[in-house]
Amino acid sequence: MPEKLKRRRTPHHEVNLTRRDMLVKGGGGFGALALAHLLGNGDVAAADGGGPHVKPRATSVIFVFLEGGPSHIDLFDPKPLLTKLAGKPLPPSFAPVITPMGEYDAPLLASKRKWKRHGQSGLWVSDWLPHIAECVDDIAVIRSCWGNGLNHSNGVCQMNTGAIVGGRPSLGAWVSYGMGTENENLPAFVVLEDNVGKVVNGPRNWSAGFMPASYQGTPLQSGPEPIRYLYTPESVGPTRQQGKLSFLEQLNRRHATSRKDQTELEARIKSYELAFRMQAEAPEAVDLSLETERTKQMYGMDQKETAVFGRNCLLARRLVERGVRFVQLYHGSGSKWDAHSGIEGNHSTNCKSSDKPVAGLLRDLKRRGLLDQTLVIWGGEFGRTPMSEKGNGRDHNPYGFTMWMAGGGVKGGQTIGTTDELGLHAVEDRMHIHDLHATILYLLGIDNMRLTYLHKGRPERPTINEGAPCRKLLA
Amino acid sequence: MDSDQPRSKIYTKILRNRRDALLDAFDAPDNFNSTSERNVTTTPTQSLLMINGPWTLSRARALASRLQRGQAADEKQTVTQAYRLVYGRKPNSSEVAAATAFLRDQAKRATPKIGDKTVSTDPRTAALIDFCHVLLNSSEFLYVD
Repeated sequence: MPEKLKRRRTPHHEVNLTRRDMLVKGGGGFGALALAHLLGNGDVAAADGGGPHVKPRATSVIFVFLEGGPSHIDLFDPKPLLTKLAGKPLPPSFAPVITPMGEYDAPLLASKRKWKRHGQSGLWVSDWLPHIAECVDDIAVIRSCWGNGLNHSNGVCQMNTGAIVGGRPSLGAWVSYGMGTENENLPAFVVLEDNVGKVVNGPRNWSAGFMPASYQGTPLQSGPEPIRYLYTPESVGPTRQQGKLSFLEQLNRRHATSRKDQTELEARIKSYELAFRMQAEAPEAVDLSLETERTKQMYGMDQKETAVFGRNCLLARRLVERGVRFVQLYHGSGSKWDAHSGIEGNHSTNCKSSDKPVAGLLRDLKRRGLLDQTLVIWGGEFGRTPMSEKGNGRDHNPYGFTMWMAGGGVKGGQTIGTTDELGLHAVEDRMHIHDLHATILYLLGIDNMRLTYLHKGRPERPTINEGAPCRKLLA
Repeated sequence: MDSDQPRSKIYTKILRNRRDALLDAFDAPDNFNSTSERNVTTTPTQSLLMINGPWTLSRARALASRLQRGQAADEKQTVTQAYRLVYGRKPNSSEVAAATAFLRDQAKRATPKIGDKTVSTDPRTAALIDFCHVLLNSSEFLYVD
């Protein structure tokens, strides 16, 4: 046994840490800053004197989440062998997998797509995404993603929180905790679903987990009124409103003093404070009438199929422009991309309603000089299988799938990683969801192993002590 | 049960395709799926609903009317009665002082300026409504210990 280990004392009980200990043990740098802030040390900058762990490239994130699992082999990862072997079962040389719907020995389903190389970089994109295809020079396609969640519940949960079971903070919450907000008058972390369908398990995916509740995502409404009840009723007026809110804070603070463990109370107080500040600032932020017609057309807001998501993408741009740190845009919320059958109809519709808005977002960010500091992420909880399901669909595939990133210090016009010849397993430069998260945090200036939150005596990390950033992605 | 007996539950009608804004904001289950445990979120959009939404405002007006009908001798009694109704306890002396100070200041805020024709509610009533509204928004009312 090494000398060092022999001499180390292992406490059998948790030692009460002093505030100084907690600052030090909480993981120096950014983590300690955030912890100091939590402990009520108002001057965050002075606590540690440090800042980001690594050079930050991005200051905000827009995560376009296609819920249900878009088929990578029909969008970004062409597989000629799939066409050749169409109708035959999966060859035994490919490691068999568990499929959630259990249709074993199903015949392989060819991709009906037409594939072309695009842009100067020559990235492959199928004809289902003609608008995004024109932006490939800014996009880094990662073909080798993989995860542990076989079903929507655990897949969406892992893509958001790093774990297949609920209870951990979401990536947006970690970013909110580690970096704070640039605009105190808007929530740091915003979530938008795009239709009445709800993302599986809902708030679990944008929760603060074991961290204080104030780090959770704030859901906004898709449609013309993203934030309801934003205005003080005329019958009340601003003076009375101010009076009420002051008195309310007084009562709530007194109530919270004897209940310090209940972080919900502090979060509730903060949410009223934020609501008040939002009343001042949010109306302008969400007012799309201030945009030109030409801009709205860029997002497809003038066309029926793209109107809803186009609006959400434009709103996202306005929000990050005004300092919102993390915006998650769900497309197809309610697992609409989940094409167990009829993939042609399903993906045709879903691509139609998302392609132009996303491309519009990239273009708009670029022309406003925002793309360099805004990290745009695209993908779902997993991809889909080359084996068919119900004849004309595909089952879930967390073993190998595609995500892409653009902006925020990402080197565009490249493809990273590969899947096997049928697109079933990720083989080269495998990127687990933890690696993806580590990369996202790295681009924001955060080291995933140095950002910690002390919970029940254990320094918790966003990637659960795993994951490393992918250097190839960096510009 | 007799209608005048105290109850521990509130019943309401749920129409399947018409979501209630208040219940929605506070994570009511969708009633399509079995929900063993409700989510518990804390968001600024809930605060906006509570402080600006028409339903909570009308509840505050109703509570204020009820207090006025109670014919308390003075403001201290009104405050005490309000605390009993909303929090189930008596206020201590500093709480009464803070509340009566609020009622006084709020009545001033609610007094229309000369020539201002928009305000129609009597300032003292407006202050009482605002007081009730604050109590209904407060953590002590929203959270069970």
